[in-house]
Amino acid sequence: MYKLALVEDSLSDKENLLKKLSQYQQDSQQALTITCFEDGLKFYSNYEPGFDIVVSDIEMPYMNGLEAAKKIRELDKKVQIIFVSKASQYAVRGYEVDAVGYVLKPVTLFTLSELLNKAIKKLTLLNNEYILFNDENGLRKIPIPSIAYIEVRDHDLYYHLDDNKSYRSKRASLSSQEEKLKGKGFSKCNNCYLINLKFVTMIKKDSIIVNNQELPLSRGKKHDFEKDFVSYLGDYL
Amino acid sequence: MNWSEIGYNFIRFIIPLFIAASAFMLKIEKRDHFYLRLLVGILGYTGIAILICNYSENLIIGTWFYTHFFLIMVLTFLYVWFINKVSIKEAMFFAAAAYTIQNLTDNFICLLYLQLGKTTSLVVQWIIFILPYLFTYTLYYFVFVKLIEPKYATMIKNWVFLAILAIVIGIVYVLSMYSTMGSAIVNGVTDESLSTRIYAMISCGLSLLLQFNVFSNTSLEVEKKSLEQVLETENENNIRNQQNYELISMKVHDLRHQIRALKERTDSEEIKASLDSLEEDARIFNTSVKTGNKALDTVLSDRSLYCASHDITLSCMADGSKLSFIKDSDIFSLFGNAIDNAIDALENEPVDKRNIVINVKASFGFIMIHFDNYCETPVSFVDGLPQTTKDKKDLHGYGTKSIAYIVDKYKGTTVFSHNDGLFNVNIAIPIPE
Repeated sequence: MYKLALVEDSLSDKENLLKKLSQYQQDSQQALTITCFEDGLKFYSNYEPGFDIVVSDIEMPYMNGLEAAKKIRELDKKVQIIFVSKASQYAVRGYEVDAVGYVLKPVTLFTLSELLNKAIKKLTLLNNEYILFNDENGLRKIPIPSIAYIEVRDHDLYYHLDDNKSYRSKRASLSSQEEKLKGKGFSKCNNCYLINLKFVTMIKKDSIIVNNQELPLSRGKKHDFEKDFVSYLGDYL
Repeated sequence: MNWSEIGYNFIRFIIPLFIAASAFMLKIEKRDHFYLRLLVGILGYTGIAILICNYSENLIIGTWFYTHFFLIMVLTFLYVWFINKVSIKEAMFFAAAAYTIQNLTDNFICLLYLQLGKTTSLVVQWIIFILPYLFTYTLYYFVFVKLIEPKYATMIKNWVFLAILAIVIGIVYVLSMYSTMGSAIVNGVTDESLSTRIYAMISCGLSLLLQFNVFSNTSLEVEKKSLEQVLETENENNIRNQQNYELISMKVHDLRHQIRALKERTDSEEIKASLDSLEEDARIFNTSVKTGNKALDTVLSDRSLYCASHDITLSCMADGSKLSFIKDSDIFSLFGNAIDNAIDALENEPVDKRNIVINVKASFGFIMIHFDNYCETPVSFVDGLPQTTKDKKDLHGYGTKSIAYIVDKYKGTTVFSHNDGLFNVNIAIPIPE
């Protein structure tokens, strides 16, 4: 269930969007709770985090949806923004607010659906899912997005988090975790490390920088790792 | 005439060499009146070869240097050149390869004779003679003859070509002759040993490998060159496009101002309405997007005009301001090719799914470029590159190839993928510090 805000001043455009959104829910089996805002000024000036997705017109009276969205991006890093625009010229700077994309009027179901799919994919990635394991002190739960990388050493797994803490999980295998983290933006840079691509800041000739640490990049894995990295960045662009 | 000497030479040397040289016939373009030439070629070859063999004893220089082998080699070259549409260089290249494989096999056979002894029956001797040829020639055909694109032979650099000839003549011809016949005469001991034969075989094998390697390297280079040529032509077109496009948008701008001025001067609602629709029409030509990079703006505007008339929408979010380190011509080609590919794919798809997504953004010290478009038909990939679905293969494979080539030039990575009905291109190019 995702909370969606629909910001659109034109009545006819709003009706069309609502129709397409309900069609999307039927086709994709994704449930959306939709709240409509006809007054863009009111929505943007009183914005409070809580929505998962904002679908917003760009050309509205007395305001520009794109400029207004900058404010909500400051308040809410997670919300996925989709613009609706009369022309490309107005939306081409959508990257400034990390928008998922934009759809040109008249809105087609296909383009809107693709953008919603992307938004939901990104939300899943940002959502806190957890990994559970036994460390020395007992059962531990850590959110997946906070894992910078996982290391295997002497048959034990070490979870290195983004705050530089690390936890040991005894007698565990890296391949089982790799399986579990499939599709969540992880890739191996050699046989001992499974890296959260989110924290990779540099790929060098034979090493990578992840969370300000340098880890070796094996020659055999280099090609796949680079491809994973590029796909990861591109798909969530 | 010494027929037994001639017959021996023919069976052991000339006929196998002739077959090896003729093998290229299957791959190269032939000359006009081919069958006539082939007939003349075979007769001429046989006749001259008989003469050469007949006088082979007279053609020895010193005690062991048989020049008739060399003359036959020249004859083979002339034969290849005479029947096939090849340059002199190509003919020499093919003749050298044929000579090498023949020599390799001959050494192999001698090796077998040495091992099995010469006392076996005549039938066995024939089998020992024919089987190795069948084996090596089949291998030679599939690995060497079949894989090469003959047209590249002319483009081998001259000095590389001369080096190959020197190696073939030096190792395959002179050295092998000395090691088998010369040393026996010079030292008075027959050195028909196993190791000599093995060395000879290895030398021939390596020489052939070298020839093939030079060949495939040359073809790679040629391909790169033609790719660069395609990019060059594209670039010229793009510069012309840019000029046209700038002219059009200037005119459209003026036109819209004039329409607006006219609208203010009239009171007739009818005229106003038609002026409105005129203005709307003019708007289509004003597809100017401002991304912060002029080349990117041009290519986007150019393609969006085409898209607008083909019911395709372009959804582009692009920060062009960080692209300045990429040459304009490369931006034209990269984006142009990617969009053109998407357009081609979409033209056969239902109208409501014709949308091309383009995202350009700088993050993590990389320029990230993403394209996607709807694509229901399965795509096959070879070496990570999607294969063209079009008929004109040699021309159209260049689109994705040139994208990958350009990105590679900037030390970036390109990933093509197809999933959930979308064709994706993801590119990451490191921003130079």
